[in-house]
Amino acid sequence: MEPLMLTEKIDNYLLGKMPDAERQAFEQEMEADAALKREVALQREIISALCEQASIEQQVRQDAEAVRQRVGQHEKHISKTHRLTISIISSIAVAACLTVAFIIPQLNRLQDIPTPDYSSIHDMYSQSTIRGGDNIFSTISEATALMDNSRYGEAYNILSAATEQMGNVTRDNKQQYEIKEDLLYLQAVCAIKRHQLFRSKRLLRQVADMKGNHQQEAEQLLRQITD
Amino acid sequence: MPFPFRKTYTDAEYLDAFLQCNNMLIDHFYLTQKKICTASIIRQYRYLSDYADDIFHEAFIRLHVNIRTCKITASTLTSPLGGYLHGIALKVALEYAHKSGYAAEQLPEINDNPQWAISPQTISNPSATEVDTGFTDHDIELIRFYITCLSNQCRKILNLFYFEHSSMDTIATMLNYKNADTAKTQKNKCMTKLKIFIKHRLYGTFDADRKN
Repeated sequence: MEPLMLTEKIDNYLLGKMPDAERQAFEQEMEADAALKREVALQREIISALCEQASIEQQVRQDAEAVRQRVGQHEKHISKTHRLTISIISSIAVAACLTVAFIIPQLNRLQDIPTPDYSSIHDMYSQSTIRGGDNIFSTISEATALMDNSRYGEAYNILSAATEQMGNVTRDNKQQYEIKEDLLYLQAVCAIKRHQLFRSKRLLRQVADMKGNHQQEAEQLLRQITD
Repeated sequence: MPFPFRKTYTDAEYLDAFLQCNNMLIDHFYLTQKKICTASIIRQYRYLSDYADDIFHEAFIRLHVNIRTCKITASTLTSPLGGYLHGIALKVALEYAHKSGYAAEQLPEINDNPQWAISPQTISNPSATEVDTGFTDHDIELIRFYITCLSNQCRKILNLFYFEHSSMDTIATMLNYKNADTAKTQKNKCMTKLKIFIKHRLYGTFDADRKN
């Protein structure tokens, strides 16, 4: 029998499409012909293996679709995280650039400001010390002496401690109020000489707000820093 | 989906992952190979850039099937697994290109079943175990192997007929045959050809001229 016809006949037999009489005749033929029997067994085995592999492929396709979805989710997540990271880094970079662009000129300006005059304070408190003034006078005198020797850091610390010790002072107590203003002014001078931009601005604003003896000097210095 | 950060895996680990259904490693393989393959597809077939993801996905499925059916094992793979996948992807891309009818004369012929990545020793040593059919385990393994070597067209038609029990009319429509008879003839040709190769390997003879 021609091979293609034989294949078709075996298919009909294996798939139960053969009429009964034909099937019986075919089975008798198989019993008599070992090669035919072998051919049928082989085709049966091939069909079984085909179906097994098709089943595997079907399962793999389902699994692969699940993989695709998981990976897709992951890519979206990465993309979102990536975008977020980039935007955060960009914002930080922009902020840093703006800060530097804003601060550096002002720091340079601090360097250009001549040392504010504090000689009147220095003289006043020195004389008071000689006449036997109290502790605060000698503290301020000591601080101004340090400032004369450009030891602004030490002077600042002393002045800052004294200011803290004074606590809140109102205009009602005129002398204490003026002393506090002097202390803050001297601290501002030290901050300027140490190129501490924000500290010097804060202190000068405090002095200006006190509307005391150093108001005009403080406002002028503030203008010099911020302009 | 937790991915180990900056970890690379060997081909043996990936093969094991496919067989053991280790989703973490499978996903890792999919993600890392996707970028490489889709870039390569787009480079070679720019007009298929919209289909690059689908082409890669189909290639991944074929690779997965080959691993699960033991066509690819650690001992039979002669090129890196990624390289093998890449080869499949380019073949799938070529199929897409032929299907889309894009400048067919410029496209190379599709070399069905490239065997370049698989060494000849694909079958294990013959087993002494006899099964009811008269075939040994070795014989059955051989049959399975030759099925994986079928051309895509043959595999499709045989799957549709034997696994999905589709009628010849349906098969003819799906696979663009002239009519049901043409589809049936093609089915029989595929099965006969497969039997000839298997018989030659099993019995050492070509039975193509067998007349009864």
